[in-house]
Amino acid sequence: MLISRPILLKILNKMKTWLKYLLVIILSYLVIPAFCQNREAEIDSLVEKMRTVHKDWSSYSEALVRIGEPAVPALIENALNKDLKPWNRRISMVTLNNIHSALWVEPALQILFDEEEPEENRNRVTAGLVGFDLSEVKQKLWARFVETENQFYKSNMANLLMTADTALAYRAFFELYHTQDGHIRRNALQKLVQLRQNEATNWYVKALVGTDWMTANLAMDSLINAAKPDDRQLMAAFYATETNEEVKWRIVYVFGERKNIAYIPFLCQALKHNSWLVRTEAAVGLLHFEKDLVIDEINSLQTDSLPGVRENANWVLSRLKASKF
Amino acid sequence: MCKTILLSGMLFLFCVFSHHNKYKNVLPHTSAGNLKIAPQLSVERPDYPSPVISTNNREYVLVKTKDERYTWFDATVENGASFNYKKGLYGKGNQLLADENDFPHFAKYGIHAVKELRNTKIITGLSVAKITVDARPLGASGVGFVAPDETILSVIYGDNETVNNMQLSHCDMARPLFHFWNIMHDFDKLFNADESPAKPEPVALIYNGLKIEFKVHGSRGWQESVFNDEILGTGHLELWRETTSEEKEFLKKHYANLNQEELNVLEQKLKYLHTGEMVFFYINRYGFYEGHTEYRVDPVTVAFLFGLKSIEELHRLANGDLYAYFTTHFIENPE
Repeated sequence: MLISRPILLKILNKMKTWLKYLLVIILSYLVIPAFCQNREAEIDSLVEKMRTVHKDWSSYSEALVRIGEPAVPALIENALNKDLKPWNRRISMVTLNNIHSALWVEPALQILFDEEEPEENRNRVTAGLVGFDLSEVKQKLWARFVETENQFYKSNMANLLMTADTALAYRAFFELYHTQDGHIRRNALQKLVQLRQNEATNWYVKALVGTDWMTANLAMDSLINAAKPDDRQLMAAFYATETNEEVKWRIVYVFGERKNIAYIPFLCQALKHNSWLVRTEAAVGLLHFEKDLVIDEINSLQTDSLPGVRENANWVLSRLKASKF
Repeated sequence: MCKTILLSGMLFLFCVFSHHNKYKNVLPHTSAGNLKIAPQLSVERPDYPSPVISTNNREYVLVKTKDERYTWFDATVENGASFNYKKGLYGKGNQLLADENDFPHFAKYGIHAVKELRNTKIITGLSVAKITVDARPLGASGVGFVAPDETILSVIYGDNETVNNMQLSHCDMARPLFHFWNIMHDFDKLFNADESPAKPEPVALIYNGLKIEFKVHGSRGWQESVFNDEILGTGHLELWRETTSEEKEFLKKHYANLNQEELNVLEQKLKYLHTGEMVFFYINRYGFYEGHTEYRVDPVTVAFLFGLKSIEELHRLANGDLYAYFTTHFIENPE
């Protein structure tokens, strides 16, 4: 610095207010364009690199995401430029998705509905459209959902329908729930319940008795944390003759983890169950309650005719006595 | 009088120490100075038993390289730096850790007490029922950690019986597997500076006089544990050895009732392991070898493969029917 900071402050303090304003205006005319020129040059350089880079593209992409909105128009040019290599178009799309600008919505829809675009590109842009109002293109989105065969692409289209038309979204997730498994089925369950909260217990019980482990786990966790689940449905499922032992175990697990004293008699009864999974889980579930709440029911089981029931009751009692309660 | 007190004291100390040593299979000792330790290599196969414990308590295993050379590798089973694929940490991990909270007897003696297993309904804070459901096929893993008709406790109980009958501990079972794993894990690091085409590549372990060959394949991603612990898995590990002519003869003679296909199955079950590294940690920590799935590490296979027991002993321990032993699932829960 030519002038030290204290001297500069002294000069500024002595200046009249109008003179200070004038100084700011003059400086802004000189500095802001220079700053903008630098920013444009930086964007041009990064976007140019994105046109040719193969590996190690993430540092350029991350820099553009940090710049954000000002970088969007140049990146859109890359994304739409069919003369570029597919890879370089794709990494521009990913960067745009990460910036998540409203400016990207229209070009992204253009790519999504362009039948000449590779399937992968059409799917790639969906992440950039999540959360935007897409009601104007709801029928086209539905048509795309129906047309694509890839389960992951279908799932992404269903996610877009959430902000386009909830009835169509429900239809899409209903189909995915019944035809897919794993992550897609699990996501479908979450969305179905989000769309129709009054159907939550129905869906969770349905998932609980289903064969997909991941989805059944989500249903279990949701039922444990639900404010007011319909216990009658769970009980009915437990006592239904066609319900297999793993499903019965899941229901006992939910009742144990909910820690509601109303379930103590049910859990004590379950200690007598002929399924090892069920009676073992019931014993563990009873440990979630205070000793005084459980002791009378358990004491009556200590004289049960079956040794297994007596042993389970003893195990619960000994663990409760050793616990802090 | 003094002599009696001294002898009683020594006997007491012997009892205490022998009970607290979780290894029942005693390894021979030698001076480290006698061994050409990696990265040193020798062309001649050294005439020492392998594995061997050095005077500074390190465990050395003789490794054969692709170019027919030999080196002694420090494969000591021990607790080391963190081993966690998720965090990119590749230390030895907790190789000696046993689950003391849930199995105090097991942690102390290296073998489960049946009474303790009967009382077990929770492991690592999770109910054994939950672990079982997660461990079955199409649960936490596609192939599962136990067969559909098995439970976590029925498998631990079944394998505990087998190991106990062999008069070995679960630590004895885990040790050779960890020896192999430690060699796989660290061999390359030791020879990292050597960029020449002649860079040594391990192809076999010499273990109790037997040549054990192996293949290691990686995979994308990792497998989460069914217990509430830090154990993760990613590798596909294959270990095998050739059966000797005497062993082949023994099988032919004592299993004449089996057709050729069944005999081949039996031989394969004895001499070949396909698994992942998770099981090595599971064995030492819980005495869990996985149920009858394709990743199972059968304790009888470990004993045969690494030469801990002879075919005659294993045949006798299986009540004269190793084929039935290998193909029968564990369905009895310790209640």
